[in-house]
Parts: sequence; structure tokens; C-alpha cells
Amino acid sequence: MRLSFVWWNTSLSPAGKARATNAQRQVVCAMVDIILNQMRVDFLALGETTEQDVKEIEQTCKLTEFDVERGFAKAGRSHFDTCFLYRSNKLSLTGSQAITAAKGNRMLKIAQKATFEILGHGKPLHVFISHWPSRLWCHENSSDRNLLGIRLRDAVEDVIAESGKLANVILLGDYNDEPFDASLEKQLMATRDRVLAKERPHLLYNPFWQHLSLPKSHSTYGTDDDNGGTYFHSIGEITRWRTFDQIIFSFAFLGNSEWHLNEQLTGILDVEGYKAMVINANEIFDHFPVLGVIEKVESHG
Amino acid sequence: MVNYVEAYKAGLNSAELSEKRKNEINSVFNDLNQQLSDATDGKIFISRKKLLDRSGFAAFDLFNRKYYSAITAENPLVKNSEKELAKWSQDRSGYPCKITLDSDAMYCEDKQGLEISLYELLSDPIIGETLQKLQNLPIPEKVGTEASANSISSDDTDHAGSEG
Repeated sequence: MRLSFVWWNTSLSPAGKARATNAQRQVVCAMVDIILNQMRVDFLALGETTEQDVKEIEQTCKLTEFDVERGFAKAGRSHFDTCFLYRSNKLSLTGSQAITAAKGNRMLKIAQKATFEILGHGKPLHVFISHWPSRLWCHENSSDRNLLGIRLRDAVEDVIAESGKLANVILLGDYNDEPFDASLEKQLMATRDRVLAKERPHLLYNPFWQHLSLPKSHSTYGTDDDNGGTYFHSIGEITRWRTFDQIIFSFAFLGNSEWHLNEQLTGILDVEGYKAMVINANEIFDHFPVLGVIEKVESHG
Repeated sequence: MVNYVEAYKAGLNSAELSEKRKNEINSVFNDLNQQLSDATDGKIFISRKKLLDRSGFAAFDLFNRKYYSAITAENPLVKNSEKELAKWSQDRSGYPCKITLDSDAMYCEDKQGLEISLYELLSDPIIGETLQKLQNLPIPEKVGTEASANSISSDDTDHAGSEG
């Protein structure tokens, strides 16, 4: 059995404010259709969406095999802007929780936790969906970014305290921080070192360290037509690419339980025709979807 | 040589800061209670208490009873009316504190953060319903008679066996 998870920041309605044209909304519906109905992904979390966006996606796409969880919980004066869809014959939602940190008059949105039962496989699966604030509103050196990582780590620790060191935990989202930033590497403890992560139950493994730049080396006759990250901003001075969108896995998925990470299938999702819109500064789209896959390994005992 | 005096002084400073923060947290709950008491003619009182863990078989294990901290509400005019509103935890140094509902986990990083989170808690429709029921409980003629917390219909919040 295989389970696939996709995170995509749709760019539809940042901070809950609709800004997309009808044509752009149709692009989003087409992408959702491709991801869920053609690629047959089992879980799709969407960022920068509103209640109205989700309604439109439901009406436009044929989603009979999916349940939709609207995650637009209130967080102070703002709201969470994430929602998720999941294949109901594989996953059963047993709980969801909005995790926030209130500091001064700000309410930081840490994550939405969704707890699933993988149908027929007993043990719970905990998915943390995050859309951390943009660097425009929360500077890359702000202590709040460390706090986001610390509190997300605390939430993971709570799950481990309840379910043990082999807890099935997947974290995904647009962190507006890269894998090497302190919030994710030091505070959340999402390492690049897979060998160490296999040995130390407290570490999380972040496969997106491998997606920080163009995947192929420069060669005289080669082309540079791959993606150099998950987010593109055409006016970047040092780099136009960032790897803000990531999927991170707990110790259980690194050969320590019956569910294993399939890292070969995990990465940036390049849907035909979409990249042209991402690199077009006149379009709203600036994030690629990212994919994570886990597989159940049959025991040979 | 290790400077133990420096460590000792640092410990004292931490203890002092921790005490200051705990007093600050108490003051937030005092303000909350003052406002609620004024608004409800003294029919709502919010506390932080240790409650017996009744999940699964935990309550039956007499030798290993587990307790957890919770924010509770009661109508002081009706005996045994206490209801759990949310789980509560607090760092040894005061902050962060954490308010947990099934649907929300709110970390409070400072005084203002705690005030905002308590505001959110009181705005929750399920909490609102519980408080409204407490406020509307019939007041026994003699204050202190066994009365009617049971008239609050059973719901998700109805497991507040207080252990003081």
C-alpha cells in the first residue's frame, strides 16, 4: 500500500483576500483535478484559500472519493488559510486541531494538526499543515521565526509523548523558511542527515535539503530548465528560487516501522505547463506543489 | 574553579522572575473573574485546578492515579457545578502556558498572549454554551444545598471531577 501527500500554496487568496481572475481559478481547479484524479494522490493540503475557493474547487472538480476538511479556524484577528482533501477509502479523519502561539498582540499560526486512521492499519497518522508568515510580515531574522519552530517542535513532542517514539508524523507546508534556516533545522530538528535521523528517534528527516538548487550539474550542452526550488520570485537579487515548501518525516518512516518513506518519489511536483505560469511575473502563481510518499512494507517474517 | 556563587545568584534571579510571572498570570485570572462576576452577578467563577484523569481505565487504577491541570468554571451559588473548560499547562518559569481544547492548542508566550488566548477561549461557542448553562442554573434557596449541576446536559466538557 502506498500513501501520497501533496502540499500546494495556491496563491489564490493570501491573508484571506481573494485576488484571482476566473482564468486563474480555473488553473487551480485543473491542478487539483490532475493531482487528485489523475495522479491519484491521497492527501492534498492547499494554502492561501478561503471558504469560497474550496466551495468552487468542490463544485468544479469531481471529488467523489474525497472528504474535505475546511481548516479556516480563527486565529486572533486572522484566520488559518489552509484546507485539506483526503481519500476517504484510505484515510479516516479522527481529529483536527489549530495550534497557535500568542505573543504580545500577535497570534502566530503554528500549524493545523490532522489525525488520521489509515484504514485497515490501526496506528494513527499525525499530519501537521503549516503556512508560516511571509518574510514581508515577519522578517527572516525575527525571533518569531524561531518561536514558530520551537512551538511546532513542542506539538510534535506532545504526539511522541502520547504515541511513543515510533509515532507516524508528517509535517508539510509553506514555512517561508528554507531547510537550513534555524526555525526548521535547529528548533524543529529537521535534519539533512538521513543516517543520523535513522538512529536518533528525536530527529525529523527533511528530504527537501535535496531540492535547494537545480538538480543537474552544469554542462556545456545541458539546459537549465529544471526548478531551482519550490518558490520563484523574479525580483530576487541573490537568488530567484527558494525552497519554502517542504514535507518532513518522523523517525518511524526511516526503516523503523512498517511504513517507509519513498524518497525517490518525494520532491517537487512539476505539472506540465504550470512552470510557465510560475516564472511569469504577471501571474499570481509562485509556488510549486510538493509531494511526499510513504509505503507499507510487507513483513517477511 | 567552578563559580558556584554565580550559579546560585542566577538561580535566585530565575526564581524571582518565575515568581513575578506566576503572580502576573494570577492577576490575569483575577481580572477575568472580576469582569465575569460583574457581568453575571457572581454566577461564573473561573479556576485552574488539578483534575483526576478519567480517560480509559486510569481512574480505576487506585495506586497510579494521574492528574492533569485544567481551566474550570463554576457557578459559586450552586454546589458541585464545576465544569472543565480546557486543559491547562504552565512552564515552571511561568510562560509559556498552554490552553488546550479538542479543536485548539493555544500557547501563551506572555501576559498579553494569555489575555488574547483567554479571550479566544471565552469566544468559543462550546465554551459559551457551557458558561451560559452554568449561569442559568437554578439557585437553591439555601446556598450550599446539593443542587443541580446534573441539570447541565451531558456533553464533551462534562467530566470535571475536581480533586482540588
